[in-house]
Amino acid sequence: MNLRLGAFGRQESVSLVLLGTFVSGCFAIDTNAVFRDGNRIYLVQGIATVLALLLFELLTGAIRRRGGNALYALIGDARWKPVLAVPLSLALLLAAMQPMEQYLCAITQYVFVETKQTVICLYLLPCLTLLVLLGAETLARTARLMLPILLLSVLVTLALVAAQGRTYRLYPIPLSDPLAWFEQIAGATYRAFMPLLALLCIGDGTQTPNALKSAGRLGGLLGGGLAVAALFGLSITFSYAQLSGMPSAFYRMLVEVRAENPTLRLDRATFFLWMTGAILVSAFYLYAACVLFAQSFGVRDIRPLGMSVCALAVTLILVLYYDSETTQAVLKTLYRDAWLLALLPVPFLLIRTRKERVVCGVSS
Amino acid sequence: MRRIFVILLALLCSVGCVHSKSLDEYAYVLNIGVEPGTTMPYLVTFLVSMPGGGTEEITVTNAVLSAEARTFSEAAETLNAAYPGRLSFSRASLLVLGEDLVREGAQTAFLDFSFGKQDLWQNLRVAVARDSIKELFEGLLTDDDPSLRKIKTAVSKLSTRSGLTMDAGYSAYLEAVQDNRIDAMLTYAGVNEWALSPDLLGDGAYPYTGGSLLVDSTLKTSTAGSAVFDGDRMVGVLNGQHTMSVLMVTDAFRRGKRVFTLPDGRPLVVTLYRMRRPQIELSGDTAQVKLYLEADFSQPQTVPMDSETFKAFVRDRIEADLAAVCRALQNAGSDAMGFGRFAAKAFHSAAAWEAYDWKTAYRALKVTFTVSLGLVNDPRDSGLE
Repeated sequence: MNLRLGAFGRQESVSLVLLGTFVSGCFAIDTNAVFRDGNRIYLVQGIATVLALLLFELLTGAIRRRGGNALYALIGDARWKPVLAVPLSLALLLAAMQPMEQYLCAITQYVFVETKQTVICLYLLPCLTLLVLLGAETLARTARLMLPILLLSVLVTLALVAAQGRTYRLYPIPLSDPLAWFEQIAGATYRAFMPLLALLCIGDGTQTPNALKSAGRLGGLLGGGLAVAALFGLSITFSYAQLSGMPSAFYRMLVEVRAENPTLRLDRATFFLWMTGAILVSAFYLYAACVLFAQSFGVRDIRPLGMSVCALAVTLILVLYYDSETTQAVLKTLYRDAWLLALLPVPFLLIRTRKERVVCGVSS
Repeated sequence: MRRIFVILLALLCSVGCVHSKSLDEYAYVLNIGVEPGTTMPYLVTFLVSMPGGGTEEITVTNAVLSAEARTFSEAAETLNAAYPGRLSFSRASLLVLGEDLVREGAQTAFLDFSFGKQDLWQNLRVAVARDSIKELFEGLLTDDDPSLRKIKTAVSKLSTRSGLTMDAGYSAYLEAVQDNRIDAMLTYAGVNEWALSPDLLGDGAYPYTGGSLLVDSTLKTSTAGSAVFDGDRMVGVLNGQHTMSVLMVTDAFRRGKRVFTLPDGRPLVVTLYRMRRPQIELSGDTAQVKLYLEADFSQPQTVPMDSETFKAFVRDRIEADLAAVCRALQNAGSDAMGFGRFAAKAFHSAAAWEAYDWKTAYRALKVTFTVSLGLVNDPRDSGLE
């Protein structure tokens, strides 16, 4: 099979997961929904990071018990293989679309003003496709190269924000609505879990099961911590009323703090750096979705599948901008409830492994 | 395959050259001003920096242009039509609102434009103009500082170093209008020949602004204290000394000179420094504000009192002034000191906070101020000893 997994080390895996957790945690949030009734996102992100890491621990434990090194070990011989693989692949596809959609929104609103999304997509699609076709090793090594400068840019921005931010903007903290808490935690857990799931999908490229496990732990923890810090920075820069409905809030934060500081002429450069990171993460998710799908359905060459999936993702994003209200409503519902696609198959995978252990125990 | 890839890459990279424009074809809007129009709702004034000259040497001239319009976009389009080159708003850094406009709260409809669209950002500084904005912009033009950068930086530094005026950004203004937790306080500016007008406490507006007004200089525009708002309506002006009192409570104060009158009628100048973050406790209809300041007294030998009496004298004056400013703001309905920031902490949902009538509660709030004052120079510790 030509899955183009290659081989990459622990640093590369950590970089991929860290970048993914940060991008999904910060650049993929729907500000309308998240800040509608106050600001709790930085708390939610912290809880979600812990839950996502717990899920990762459970899955890696199950994979190890089955003697594998990737998620496919859990679903490879399952009778309901498509039922488990398709929702997970779809969840990864939706997770890949979210940063790209933010990218399109930011670039058409702040950089190439009033340019049509289709024009930007003409440039976006080849980049994504190329990254997906080059495979896991290229993605991981590029993430490793990008990470230091991206981290530096985020930390400098946060340092500037810390000097100007005010903690009163955190209030009122919405504690009274358990349903809203549940919805936000589920959504954030889905976003925090996606890079870990993607890593599990390409686990065969990591050198050992231990490397896979420690990379997931470290990347998830660091990426989650960075996302919490960034969201906290955002929360002390803008009030919930300003954030609600603010597109690409992170770029706005960068611009707000630029007056009289050294980032004055670096905002666009920083923006493109962050957006390149977002494209890389989207490509990572799409590639992982392709690997899972190819392994589950016996597709021997990932390249045609990769091209189709990239085209599908970009087309679906354009549908969000151009198509009828009904189609948009369906896609937005999918976005909102994507956590169900990602999280519901997980208990089945774990229960199945547990049952087999019980059966093995009885037979032995 | 590789050749085709290289050709495609070269084509992609050359896209930026298709509609290229040389630098002298751009004109940069530096300041934007809005005031009531005569035929249209708004008179929009732009201070534009226009490059000219040949290829050898590019000269820059500034011009004040204005257009009447219903929206910002309309005004920008009118201006674009009047200029042969291309206008860029990327260097705009000051938004001036006419006092007549903000007294009515009529600026909100105009300001409802999408930031980023015109390369305009919310880190614009915002000021309120007492006089005609055209005159105000013309007063800013000097040969020494064609980009106006030094002037704008000077206003910011004046705010930090003297505490006599407010350096406010559009983002803070917008937050104040939307959030109801703190009311806006903006730089108040005018041309130097303006007449003395009373502030919210009945004092003159200009005598304490570091001598920037009524000075014969190339700069004909200057600032004096601040304009205070109730929501999106301007409700009054605070002079420099009273502005400092508000900045102390909002923790925007770093240092500044206060002028007190001694019992024998002589003026006493004391430099105050912020020692630590103010503490504000709000429970029910009472609020307690504790400020931590340090006083640097430059003429100790002229004060006819000992350290403790001097400290008590300065502390009492500051507390009395804070209480008077707070009462004046409450009467005007402006929560410029931001007690709403603390009131909001008691709420556990945005909807509950938004439904709460904070302004009515604020007007009835009983506020007490306590100043903890340290002395840098003991008045009796004369340099002659």
